Parts: sequence; structure tokens; C-alpha cells
Amino acid sequence: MKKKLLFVLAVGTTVLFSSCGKVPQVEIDGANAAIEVAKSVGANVYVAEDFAALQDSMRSVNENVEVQNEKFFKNFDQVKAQLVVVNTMAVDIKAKAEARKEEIKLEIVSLQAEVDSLVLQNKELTTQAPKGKEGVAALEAIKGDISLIEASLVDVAGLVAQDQLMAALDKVKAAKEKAVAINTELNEVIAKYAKNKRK
Amino acid sequence: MGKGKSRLLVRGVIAVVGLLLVAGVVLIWLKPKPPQNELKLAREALNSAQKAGAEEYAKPLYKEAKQLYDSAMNSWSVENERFFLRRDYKPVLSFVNLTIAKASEAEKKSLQQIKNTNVIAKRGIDELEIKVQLYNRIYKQMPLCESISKSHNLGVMKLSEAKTAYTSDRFIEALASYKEAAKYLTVANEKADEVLKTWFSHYAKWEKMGADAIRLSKGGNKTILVDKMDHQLFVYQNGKLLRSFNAELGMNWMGDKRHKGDKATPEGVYRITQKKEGSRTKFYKALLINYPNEEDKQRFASEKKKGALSFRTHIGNLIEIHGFGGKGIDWTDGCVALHNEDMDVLYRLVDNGTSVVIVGSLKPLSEIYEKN
Repeated sequence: MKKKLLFVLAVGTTVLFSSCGKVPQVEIDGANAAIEVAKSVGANVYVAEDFAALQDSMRSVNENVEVQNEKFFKNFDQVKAQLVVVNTMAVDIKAKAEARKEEIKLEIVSLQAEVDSLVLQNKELTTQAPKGKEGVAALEAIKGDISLIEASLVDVAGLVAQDQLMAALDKVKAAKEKAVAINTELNEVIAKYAKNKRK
Repeated sequence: MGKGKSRLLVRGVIAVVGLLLVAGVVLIWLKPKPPQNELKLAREALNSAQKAGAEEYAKPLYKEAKQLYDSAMNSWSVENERFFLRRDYKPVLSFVNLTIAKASEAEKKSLQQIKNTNVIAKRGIDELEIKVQLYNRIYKQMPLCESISKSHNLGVMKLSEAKTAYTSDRFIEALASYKEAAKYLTVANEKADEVLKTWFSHYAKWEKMGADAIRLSKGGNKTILVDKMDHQLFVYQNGKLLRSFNAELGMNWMGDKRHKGDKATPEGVYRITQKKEGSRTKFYKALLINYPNEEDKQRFASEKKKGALSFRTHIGNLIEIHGFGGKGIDWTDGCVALHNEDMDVLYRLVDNGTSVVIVGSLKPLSEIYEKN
């Protein structure tokens, strides 16, 4: 009887002063890795608000880990549940960032095609434009402008390759604006010339 | 063992357990309180700074705040590993307070920075728009060298990038593109301005030539006055303006004509030597002028003598006022081109011998800038 009582007392004391839960380090490392993966695809740039929320959630998890570490009776069930949520968030945000990037890439590709087509049209218009001394003056400057747009398209491709999509988008939009302006100018020159020629 | 002894033992055990429990409760009560709520406040401050764009607009401060938060967490973790009665959360709280202060500073700085960058980018973009307008109104029509128009066009494209970034609230990128655009556009405008000012150094002479031409018409004769900068051809009689027409000039119309093939429109006092129409001209109707006059010939000879022009260079001739204008560009080899309808009117108004005075500008440069 005495022995039994002493055993119960010993176990009780051990239970009282020792932890009954371990830090879910594997899950924590997994969540951190998932956040890094999301960041590596540009989540911090393309879905910045969502990524900030994800970082905040992970910090909250770390705080809860310490809350449990401080206790006599540790219980990491809530932390584990939070980590599952963080992991899911990280995966979703990564997908969202990739989707946004894809959207931007498609917009760039579409604008590149538009600019390519405008450059071709402009080149064609320069061949239709007035020949002889009347044409030379107007066309030489415009041909120079067209080559600037072509150089800009090369820069855009380089920026896309470096994953600098926002800069690429800005550049291709500027190239389109210039290409449209040249197109208008060329059409005006040709129209004025044709009108004058009929007289 | 007797019943009495057993009872005594049980009572003893109960007393010990009871004492232990009481001691446990007292110890738990004495245990330092964890800084859980304070850490939460620090995290919220950090989050708020991040939402305010501090990661981008107040980078060093935000980084510092983040490091302080991490230090608070590390410190908490270290304390948690110590025996519970020996834990001291004061360093954690100190890091927490520093985090909150730094994050709040980062947030304020970020908001201010956004405001400043926004204002600078907006003002800069607006200023560059004015530079582009000035170029389009004054310099674009000038026969400038390729490097100037290239610089202008690169600037226009960079400005367009700046505007796109600005409208997407990416002020730092907008500012960077604006700065690049400013470099290109400023260079283009400054160089073009230099060309214009150099040319306008002859303004006093042009002003006198213009006044003389009008005075000459006071005797009743018609006088043609061409303002190259304004691309206008005026007809004066009795000191009064009779008609004015839009004119197109030589591709390289700025500056005086120096030799054959320079595509410049000459500046000077001339007279009509021949009226041509029908099969005698390719340009609808034409008024041939006496370029080169004596002054042109003397200057040409002097330049040749100095070696400024090659020995084989010719002075050129066949400068006319003719039709087929209205193309919206300066396209002739040095002649003055009018719309065919205008040419009809002018052709009827003037005769052989009518004075033709061609000047760079009748208005001073200040007036040209003001007008624009």
C-alpha cells in the first residue's frame, strides 16, 4: 500500500512538473518553407496584402508556441491547427500570385502582339507614304521612332525573362502609346499628301 | 501494519499532497506573467506598418522594427527555457516597446514618404508634360539632328512609363522613370533651344528687314514677306497687310541657304524674276526669285575662300514660291510652297519685280515662347 501510494505520488509529481506536449517543429518548418515558396514566386509583390496577412499569421503561431512553452501543461493542438491554416494560406497565396503573374504575362504578350502589329503597319505605311523629296523629310524621322519602339520591345522581352513583369508591362504600354502616335502621324501625312495630290 | 498506522500514513500522504498543491498554487501565483498581450501589440504594430507600405517606403525603419520583434520573440523563448521562478520578461517587454515605437515610426515615415513621392512624381510628370508640349509646339517642326529627336522620343516613352506606374500607385517606380524621362527630355529641349537661340541671334537683322519691307510697300507696290519661323507668307501694300498664307519650306529650313543641295530656304531681299504656270512648272504655279542675289554670291565666295565650303560646291538656284503645299511638313529643296488655292491668289496679286523678303522670324524669341 505504502509503495503504491509513493508510486502514485511520484507519477503525479512528474506529470505536474513536466510537459505533456512537444513543439510541432516539423509542422513549423513546413509552414515556414511554404511561406518561402510563396515568396519565391513573387507573392510579396503580386499579392502583397495577402502575403502580409500570411506573415502575420505565422508570427501569431510563433507567439502561441511560446505561450505553450511557458506553461507547465503544454498543449500544441491549437498551434497545430493554426499551422494547417497557415500552410493552406501559403499554398493559396502562391497559387494566387502565380495566377496574377500569368495574367500580367498574358497582358504583356497581348500588348507585345499589338505593338508588333503596329510596327509592321507603320513600316508598311512608310512605304505607302509620299515618295520623292516630299516623303523623305517626314519619313526619316518617323523611321527613327519606329526603331526606338523595336528596341523597347527587346527590353520588354528581357524584363519578362528576368521576371520583372510590372516594369515590362509599363514599358510595353509606353511602346504601344508611341506606336499608336506614329501610326496616327503617318496616316495624317499620307492623307494630307493624297488630298493635296488630287488637286 | 495496524489500522491506526495505516490511517496515519494516509493522513500523512494527504497532508503532503495538500501541502504540495498549496505550494504549487502559490508558486504559479508567484510565477512571472508572460508578455503574450504585449507581443500581440508589437505584432499588430508591425503589421500596420507593413500595410502602410513601410517595407518599401521606410525600409530601414521597418527592417529595424522587424529585427526588434524577432529579438523579443527570441528573448521570450530563452526565458521560457529557464526554471519558471527564475524567468524574467523585462528584456522581452523592452524589445516589445522598442518594436512598437519603431514600427509606429516606420508607419508614419512610410505614409509621409508615399505622400512626398506622390507629390514629387506628380509634379515632375506635369512639368515634363509641359516640356513635351513645348517640344511639340516649337522644336518638333525644326530640322533638328537625329540625336535630339531620339532623346526626346526616349524621354516621351519613359514619361509614359512613369505615368503608368503613377496611376497604379507605384510611386517609387514612377519617380525612377520620371527621373530618367527628365534627363532625356531636358537634354532634347536644351539642345533644341540652343539651336533656336543661335539662329535667333540674327533677329535684329530680320526685324529691320521686315520693317524695311513694309516701308517699301508704302509706295503702293506689293511686297511679299516670308516669316520662316511662323511658316507664313504675307503680302503687304501701302504698309498694310493684304493677305497671309500658310507656307511650307525647305526640309532644312532653319538658317540661311549656303549652297546647292543644303535644302535650306534662303534669307534675304529678293524679287520675282519669272512667273510660271502650265507646262513651265512641275509645281502647279511658280514665282521664281533672284536667288542667289549679290549678297548671297559674296558670302558664298567668302566661305569658299575661307575653306568653309568645298571648292566644288555650287551656290544653287531656282528658288521659287510654288504650289503643291499643304502637306503639313517642310518638304521642299529650299522653295516656299503654298496651297494651290493660295498660289492662285498670290499669282494674281503679284508681278515680275515684286519684292520678296524672307526672314527667320518677325517675332522675337520671347514672344514665340510666350505664345506657346
